[in-house]
Amino acid sequence: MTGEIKQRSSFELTMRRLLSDRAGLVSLSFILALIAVAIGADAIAAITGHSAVAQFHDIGLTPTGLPVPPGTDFLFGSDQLGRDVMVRLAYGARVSLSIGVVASLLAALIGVTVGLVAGYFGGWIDGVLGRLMDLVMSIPVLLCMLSLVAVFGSSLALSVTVIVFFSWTTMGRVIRGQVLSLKEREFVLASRSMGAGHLSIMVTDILPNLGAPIIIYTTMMVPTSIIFEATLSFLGLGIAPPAPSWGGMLAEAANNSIYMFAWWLVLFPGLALLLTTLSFNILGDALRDALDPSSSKHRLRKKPSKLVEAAS
Amino acid sequence: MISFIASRIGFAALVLLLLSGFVFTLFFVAPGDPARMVAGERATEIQVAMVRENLGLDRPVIEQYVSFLGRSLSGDLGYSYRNQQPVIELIKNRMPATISLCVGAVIMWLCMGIPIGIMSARHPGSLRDRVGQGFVLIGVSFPSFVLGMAALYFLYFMPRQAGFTLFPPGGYRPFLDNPGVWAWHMALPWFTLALTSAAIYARLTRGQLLEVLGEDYIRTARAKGLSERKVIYKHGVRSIFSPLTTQLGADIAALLGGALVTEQVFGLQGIGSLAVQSVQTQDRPVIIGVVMLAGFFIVIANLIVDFLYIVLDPRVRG
Amino acid sequence: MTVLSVRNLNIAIPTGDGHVHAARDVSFSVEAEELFGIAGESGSGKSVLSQAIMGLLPGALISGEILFEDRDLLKLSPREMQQLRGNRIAMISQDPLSSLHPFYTIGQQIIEAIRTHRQTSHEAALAEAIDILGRVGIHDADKRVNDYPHQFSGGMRQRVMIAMAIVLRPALLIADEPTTALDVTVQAQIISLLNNMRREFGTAIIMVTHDLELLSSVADHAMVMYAGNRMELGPGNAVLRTPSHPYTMGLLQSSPTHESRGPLPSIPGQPPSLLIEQKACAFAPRCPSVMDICRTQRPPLRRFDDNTQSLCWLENKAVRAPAIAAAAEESAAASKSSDIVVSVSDVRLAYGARSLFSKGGGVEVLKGVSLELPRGTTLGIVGESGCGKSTLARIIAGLLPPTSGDVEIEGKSIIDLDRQSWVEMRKRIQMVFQDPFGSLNPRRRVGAIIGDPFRIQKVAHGDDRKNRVRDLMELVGLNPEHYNRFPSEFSGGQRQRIGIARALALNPSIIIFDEPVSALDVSIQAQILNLIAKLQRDLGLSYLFISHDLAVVRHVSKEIIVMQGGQVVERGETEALYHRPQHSYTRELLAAADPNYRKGGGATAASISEALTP
Repeated sequence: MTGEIKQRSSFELTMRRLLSDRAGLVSLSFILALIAVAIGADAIAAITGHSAVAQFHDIGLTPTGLPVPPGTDFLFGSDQLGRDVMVRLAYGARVSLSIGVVASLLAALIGVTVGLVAGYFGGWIDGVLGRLMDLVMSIPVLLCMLSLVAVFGSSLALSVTVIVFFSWTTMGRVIRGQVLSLKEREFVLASRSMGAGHLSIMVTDILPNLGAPIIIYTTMMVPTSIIFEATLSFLGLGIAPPAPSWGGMLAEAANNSIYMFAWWLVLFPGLALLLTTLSFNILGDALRDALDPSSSKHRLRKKPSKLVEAAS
Repeated sequence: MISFIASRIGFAALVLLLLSGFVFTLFFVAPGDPARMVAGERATEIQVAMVRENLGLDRPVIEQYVSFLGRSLSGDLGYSYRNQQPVIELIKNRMPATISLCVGAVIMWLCMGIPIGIMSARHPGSLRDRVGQGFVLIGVSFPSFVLGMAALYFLYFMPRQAGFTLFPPGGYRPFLDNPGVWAWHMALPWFTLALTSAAIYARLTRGQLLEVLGEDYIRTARAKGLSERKVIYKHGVRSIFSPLTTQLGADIAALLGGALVTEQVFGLQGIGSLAVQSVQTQDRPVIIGVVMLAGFFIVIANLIVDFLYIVLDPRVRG
Repeated sequence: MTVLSVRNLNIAIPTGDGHVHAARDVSFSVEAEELFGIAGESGSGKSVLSQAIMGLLPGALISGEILFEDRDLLKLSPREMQQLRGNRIAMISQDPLSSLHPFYTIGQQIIEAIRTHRQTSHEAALAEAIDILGRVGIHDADKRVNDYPHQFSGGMRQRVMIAMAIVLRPALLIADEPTTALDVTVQAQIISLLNNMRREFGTAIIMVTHDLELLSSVADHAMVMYAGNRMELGPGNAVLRTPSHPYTMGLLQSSPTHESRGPLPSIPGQPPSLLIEQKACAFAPRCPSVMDICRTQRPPLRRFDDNTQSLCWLENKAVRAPAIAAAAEESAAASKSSDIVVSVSDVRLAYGARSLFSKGGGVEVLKGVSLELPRGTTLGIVGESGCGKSTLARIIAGLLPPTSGDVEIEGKSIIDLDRQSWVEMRKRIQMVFQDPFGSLNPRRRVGAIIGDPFRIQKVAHGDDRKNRVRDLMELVGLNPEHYNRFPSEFSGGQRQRIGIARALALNPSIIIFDEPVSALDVSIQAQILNLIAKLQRDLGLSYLFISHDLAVVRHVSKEIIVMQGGQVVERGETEALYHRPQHSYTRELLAAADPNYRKGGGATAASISEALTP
């Protein structure tokens, strides 16, 4: 079938598919904008003149001590202590994004390494590592976090550690499964028969074939980590107030159900959180479709051609 | 097969052992003097020493751990530092709310996720599929506590502002008092806890079913002249029970975490909120008790899932 | 009586890349009790055709007529079609394991088929299921009816599939590659079972296959397809003995089943893409008798005296290509010296024997195998799946340590080598693998793949390496300009050339071929076999050639060993072994592969099946 038809490189094909996915592009733009906001949080604070922790008892609270709704002074309103919701939101983006990305990358690194080693070597090594993954997965995460916070107090590092510790297993399992089938492929045997060592086979033969799942699952892990961090903050186990985080802001809003009378306290951080996770998830789906066209959406179109292949 | 069961039970025991080791180390070896906490801030040194002896805190760590294990196994989880009540009693009081929440949510997410997944997989690429896919995306992206707060705002607060009561603001009503009221109070928490998992199950069901529908034996079923309904449900869906069961096993640990958050949002007096309160009051025996109990439930639930798996797949039976 | 009549059938399947034209203006008819063969290589559209008849091609654009028992199937409602399927038209397919539902017992699956179309009690259906299972040769049918598919062997599963298909006495049974996944001795049993069943129940059978040899022994009528076109149609014997179309002739000549030695008259080039609209003869670019008109106009239908019809511009039957001068039949120069390059003595391999947990002695895969390979010759190793031939190959290649025994390559033992000498040894012995898709890393470029041996062995760098890779590509008949392409851009045959180029990179003296052509179509297979032979002549290589296909092994080997159950049961010079087999298993293999044997069917096959089935 190939002969005359000029084949595009797989990278080019991937980019074309990705750029033709409108939802994916919108998500990517949102994420880029959010990154800009997180980086420019100081600028936003400077322009509004409101720092993230400054409490404006005069203009930030109504005479009865309630937060003021969105208006000229406070674009997104103020909170129960008279602080600027918008500025806090921008600083919260820093926390969410950095924890989401850092935790995902660390978890991906551990997951890929463990999955690769377990899948490639098999035998008792796989047995031990597989059991380790089972073990981590059957631990009640939040309860353990509770116990840790009870002893050590809450901190950013603790949050990241816990998120990484409990999320690398997803990647580990996926990679292990892929490696198990990859290492049975004859090109691995071919490399071995030419005298390649284990490390060389793992790095030059197997790893390049894992590009798609690594990119897809790392992207998918970001929203999970962000939600995880927000949940920890919501339960008062995340980073310590008054430092702003989206989960913490929502927790304060939930406190005494104050948000029933000040909807902006939930709407803006809630929306920020939802849109961020949604964007990463949509981007993940788009990447999956672009990198691995045989899965999901494109399946329908692929099916008939599979029939033709089967016509042997 | 027997060795499979034995290894699963062995694994269950290992999980419990490690979990107990973790909490024990954390609370008995970590900084802070438990005896001082029990005795209170104003207790004299002698009082503290008496407490220490009573609790066996003066004995070697290993000995303490072994006796802690023994007591845990016999159901004695110690006494709360705060009100000196047996931890097991505290937990028992909180059980109904948490069990109601978890069981209801699991049923709800299975009943939502699986049909949506089947609907998507039957007509891949169709409008119905895209609606299903949209549900999945939103479901996996919605943090449960945000969902819970939104549900409270729109389904409790706004109707109340308008002068009628659609849903209660939260709280737990015992099932035996009035099952109707119980379900009414649980409806929003169930939905809050179920949505994310429903989305995950819809995605899993869709993916697995699509794969199964491409199998040769589905073509055989069609070639036999079976109706499309029978092909999908009797031959297709039957095959995805096993992967769904596996997923269910993996989700039980996460379920307890979700229950904890949901209980916080809806003010349910369950085990999760007990744990959160205990952290705030540094009531360590209660936290340990909750963690041990949670581990126990996870292990039991996983064993049930393993046996279910054997029942479902004749190939495992050999 | 005509059961099925297909007229001017066109099938187009919409895909992301455009319409796949899987059938173009195809007509044929099938009589009751007849065995009608449809032959073709992959991508010829033969399987799509059979699925179109079953009404199992949703979304395909189909025009023409499919008349079955005087009703046009294309005009039936889905519901009417559903009532026909399984009842009047049944189907069995290639892989009997994946075609049976793993979670239901075979009894449940057969009963379901019965009760879908007939109002009967569960008990009556069960009795019928047991009865039919007995008839297709399942022993203790009343007990085994409660077993799950995974508890049966491959051949037995195919029997179950046949039982399920014919239990309702359909008028037509479509068998899509029914024996491809089975061992050769089991193949013969299944074919004779199908033959008996059609006589017993009066069922017409359409057999779709790539195996011309198989059709020639059983088909009453045969149709040959190429790129969606019906190239030739006629009585089985006529089509498969004295073909009219140059394509059929090419196919028959390129299968190494004849007495031929030396290069095979292969069909050059690749089959065309089904995505492209055809205006002329689809076979023109590869045809040895091509004329100008073939390239511009669609060929007419020619009818010949022996009732064959051919879609071709030639007015006469195709002529046999002149036998290529049996180029230096005995390239004897090398084989004169009795220099032994590979010597295997009493190699054994057992799995699990050393494990703490195994109660028995473990599984013995190889039970003491010895062989010798003289320099410059080819030793064929033949046997059915599970006989240990591929395991043996890996042990000889040094990829798997044997439990006991010794392997010597050019006089040096390869057992317990240190890492350094092991890596060094790789330069002497190389492997070519079966699966041309799996043996090349899809993420790496062809130049890098062929250059891998240089990279790993740290010889030849930079431009030197690049030049050597280009030379290798030329040597195996690849265009060196395709240096930067990915494996997915090549066809199966070209990929196998890449694999061979890679094996040649380090100038080894020995190459092990592990089923190198079994994944390829006949016309491509001949090209690769010719290449392998040419390389041996030119480079003086010594080959170990492993295959399940006796015809292929016979064609390439000077000597053959026959393996069964981890042991060598017979060895000898190729011709001697073929004409005077000593061991009963060798005779069985030969008999099963011999088309005339299959036609005899019945008694002999049954006795073998008794002997073979555990």
